[in-house]
Amino acid sequence: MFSNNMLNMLKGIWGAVKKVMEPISKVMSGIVNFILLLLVYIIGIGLVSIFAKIFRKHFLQLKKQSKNSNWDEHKVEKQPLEKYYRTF
Amino acid sequence: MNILGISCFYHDSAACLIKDGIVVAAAEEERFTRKKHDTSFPVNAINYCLKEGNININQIDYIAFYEKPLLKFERLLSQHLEMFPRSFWSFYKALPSWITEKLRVPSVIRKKIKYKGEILFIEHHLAHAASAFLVSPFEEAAILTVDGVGEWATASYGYGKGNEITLLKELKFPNSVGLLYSTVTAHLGFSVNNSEYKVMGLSPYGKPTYYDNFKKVVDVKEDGSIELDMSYFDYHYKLTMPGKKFAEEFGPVRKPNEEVTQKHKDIAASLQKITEEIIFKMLNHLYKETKMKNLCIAGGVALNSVANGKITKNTPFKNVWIQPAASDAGTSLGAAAYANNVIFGKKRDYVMKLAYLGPSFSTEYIKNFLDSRKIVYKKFKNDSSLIKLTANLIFNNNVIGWFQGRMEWGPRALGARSILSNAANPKMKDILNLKVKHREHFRPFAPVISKEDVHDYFEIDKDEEPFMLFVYPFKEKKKKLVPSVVHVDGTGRLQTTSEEENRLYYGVIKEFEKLSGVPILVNTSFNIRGEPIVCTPEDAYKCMMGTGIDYLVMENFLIKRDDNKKDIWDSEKTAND
Repeated sequence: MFSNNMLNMLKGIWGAVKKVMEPISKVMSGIVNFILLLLVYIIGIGLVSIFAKIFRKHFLQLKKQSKNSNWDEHKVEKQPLEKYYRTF
Repeated sequence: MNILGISCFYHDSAACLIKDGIVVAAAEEERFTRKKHDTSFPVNAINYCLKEGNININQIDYIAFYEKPLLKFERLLSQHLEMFPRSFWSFYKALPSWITEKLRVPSVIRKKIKYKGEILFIEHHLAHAASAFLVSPFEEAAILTVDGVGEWATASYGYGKGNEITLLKELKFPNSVGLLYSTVTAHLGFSVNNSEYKVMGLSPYGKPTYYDNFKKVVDVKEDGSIELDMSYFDYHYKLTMPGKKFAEEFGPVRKPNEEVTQKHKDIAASLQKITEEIIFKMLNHLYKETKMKNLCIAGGVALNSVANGKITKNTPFKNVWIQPAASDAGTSLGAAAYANNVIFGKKRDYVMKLAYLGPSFSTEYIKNFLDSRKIVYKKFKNDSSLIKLTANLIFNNNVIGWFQGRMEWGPRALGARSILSNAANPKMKDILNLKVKHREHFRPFAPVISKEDVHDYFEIDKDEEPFMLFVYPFKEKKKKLVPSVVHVDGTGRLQTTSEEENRLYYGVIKEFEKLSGVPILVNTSFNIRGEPIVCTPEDAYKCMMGTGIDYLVMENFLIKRDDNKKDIWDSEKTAND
């Protein structure tokens, strides 16, 4: 009897703690995600981007070009089956 | 051979099953989850396809996925590398979904549907091209695909011959007709990837006075390729689309609840004008390269029915075919058809003549549903009484929810999940808006007409339009007969139907003609504002009771709203679009 009451009380306390902790854990995971993604962005994207800028490499064509046509050659025809298994 | 096509994770997730060369089922996920333009993995649509095909997942020979995920990721990384450090927020928002699912497509597929077989990856615009050509009635045709963006391509062109598709050239991100249209949609205060058709509907109310402003933003080459001045846009590094300079050129961004002014209408008209100019230039160039008289178009921009209706007048193409789910949902069909016809070389045995590829419900199922919910209903004695009574109710200005047979594939209601009403009543547009749709006053309602009468009412250069993807002008003398479906510029986005295509739907139109003298009904989608078109009897009943639809004709049952007052609720309170 006593142990059952104790168990129920502990369950109640644990439930209350979980309820309070849930929004806190969401905020914490949001902060951790933010920091991790910021680091990935600065180190992974930033460094490559800075080097690319030094060597004048562009990843997107954003500047206007004086061309008569903007169509790019991209001939797509039937390929061997294995090529369709690729995700690239 | 059973091939399952899948498209998902961006907008309009969908699945399609091709069984021994025949498309046996296709549906968008949104219809099952009731979440408009649902992007999630289409597990419900897949389960429906398997059920309809009477097979299980182990009997699928191949799954065809609608794009190459790594190529798309390469484009995304390129955007961030180019735009560092300004692209952080977009990186922060996008990367988690790439890590958890978009880069892990094979494992997501295997996990979600317990699939153990091979997965084929078809490039996005190739899937679009295949969805347009391989199920078309043409043995050979030129192909144009235009949308927002796939992996890198935003548009592509080529041709199809028999079992083969060859794409020749592509337009690359960030130069995109679809993204230009979406940017203006956002600028006008409407939701992107959802409300582009509203901008199209708004355009006839304006004058293209901003055309020259658009010429500063987009350089249209003679061959239809375009070059956008990216200083006007933010979409290559931000979650918003129009840039500061865009607002300086066209005025401040309209807030969603603000009044739509003449200026907004003029911007929409100018956008429509430049979009048509681009499309017609692309098509004229395509004709020069292919010299083919048949044309297939796909991609979100192919849903621009105003431009579609003008193609044959502005280009040398004689026949134009567009698949009903022309936007991304259709790529599930395209990927599966490409695998079947091109990769495995199977003969093209299937022509998509109708769009009824979704679920249907037996009368027994519907009766059980009605009885279990204690819904008051009547049963029609036979089809003839169904047709006569429905036509009478429509003639007496009642709004009818029409639920018959298999649900439509694609965004248009085509007589399976439709709301029907009296096109001859000049007040019907207002009645529909007040009672049911609550939508913007500028948006037109569409007409459905019996096929044999189409030339009497429309200036149209073909005999049928079963998918409601083309806008044509009404004949001058007929406009006054059907005022509720004539748009402000005298046009209508029509659907034709015939006895062979949809017997009951056609029957109601012809019976209505006997009463009113016109073989035309108002046909609008059966949904609550902000929700997808109804799929099940439960959805249909809920929709009727949450709106002002007077009667629901569901298979051979007639349900009157006023007989079931206990279930009435107000859909407007939950409308979100």
